[in-house]
Amino acid sequence: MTEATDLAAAAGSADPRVGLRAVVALRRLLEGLEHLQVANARRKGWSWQEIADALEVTRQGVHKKHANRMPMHDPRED
Amino acid sequence: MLERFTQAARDAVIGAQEAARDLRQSPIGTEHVLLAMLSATDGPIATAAALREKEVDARSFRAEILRRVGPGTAPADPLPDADAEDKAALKSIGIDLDAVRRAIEDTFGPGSLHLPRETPRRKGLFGRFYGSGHIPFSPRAKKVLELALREAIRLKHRFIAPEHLMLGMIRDDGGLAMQILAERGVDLTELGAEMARSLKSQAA
Repeated sequence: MTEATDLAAAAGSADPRVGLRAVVALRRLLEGLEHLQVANARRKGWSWQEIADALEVTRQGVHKKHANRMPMHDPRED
Repeated sequence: MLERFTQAARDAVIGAQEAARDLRQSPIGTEHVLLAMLSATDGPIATAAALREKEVDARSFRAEILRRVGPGTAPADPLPDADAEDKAALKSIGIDLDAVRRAIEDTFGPGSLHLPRETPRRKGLFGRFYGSGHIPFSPRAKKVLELALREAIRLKHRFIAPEHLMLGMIRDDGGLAMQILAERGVDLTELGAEMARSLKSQAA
C-alpha cells in the first residue's frame, strides 16, 4: 500500500458513503467473528450464561441470536 | 431443517457451493453435494468401501462431472466482489481484512471466517446462515436435503450427518450424483448399508 493510496483512503472517509460503507463492512466482520467465537465456546462446553457474561450481553440475547445457527452436535463424536 | 445439520453436514452444503462456483455451474445439484463430501477425505463418504473399490474419489468424480456436463458458463459469483468491497472499506479505517482472516484461519482453519450478508433478507436458515448472493440449490438437491431429514427421523436421530445426506441421495435415486455412481458400478444397496452401519457404529 503506497502512501498516496493511504492518503486517498483517509481523505475519502469524509464522504458519508465511504464512511458508512466502512461501518457496514465492520459490522459484517463483527458478526462473523462473534458467530465463530460463540460456536467455539459452545464446542468447548461453555454455557450460554458464561458466553453472555464474556460478551457483556444478556443470556437471552445471545441465545436468541446464535442458538439455532449452531451446528447440531454429533453424538458419535463423544 | 438446516439447524439439525452437524458441522460435517454443514461443511458439505458449504463445500457444494464452492464446488459449483469452482465449476462455474448453477444451480447446485446433487453432484456438487457428493463432490464436497468426497473432498472431506477423512469423512464417512470418502472412506466408504463401496465407493473406494470402484475408485470413486473427489478427483475422479469431479472429472466425471466435467465429462458429462462440461464447465459451466455461470457468471463469476458476486461474492468475491462484495468481499473486495468490504476489504476496501475496512482498509479505509485502517483494518487489514486479510491480516484478520489469516489470524483467524491460523487457529480455526481455512475458510472459517464468513462475513455474513443479511440483505436481501431470505426466508429460512439458508438465507440467514449462508447469506444472499449464493448459487441456488436445484429442486432435486433440495429434495435430497429433505430426504436426509426424513432418514434422520426414521432412524430417530436428532442430528443430520453426511451419512444421512448420502442415504437421501440413494433414496432419491435420480440425480446426476447417483447416475454417475451407477455408471461406475457402485453397489448402492451396499453403500446405503455402509452408511447405516457408520451411523450406528459409534452412536449411543
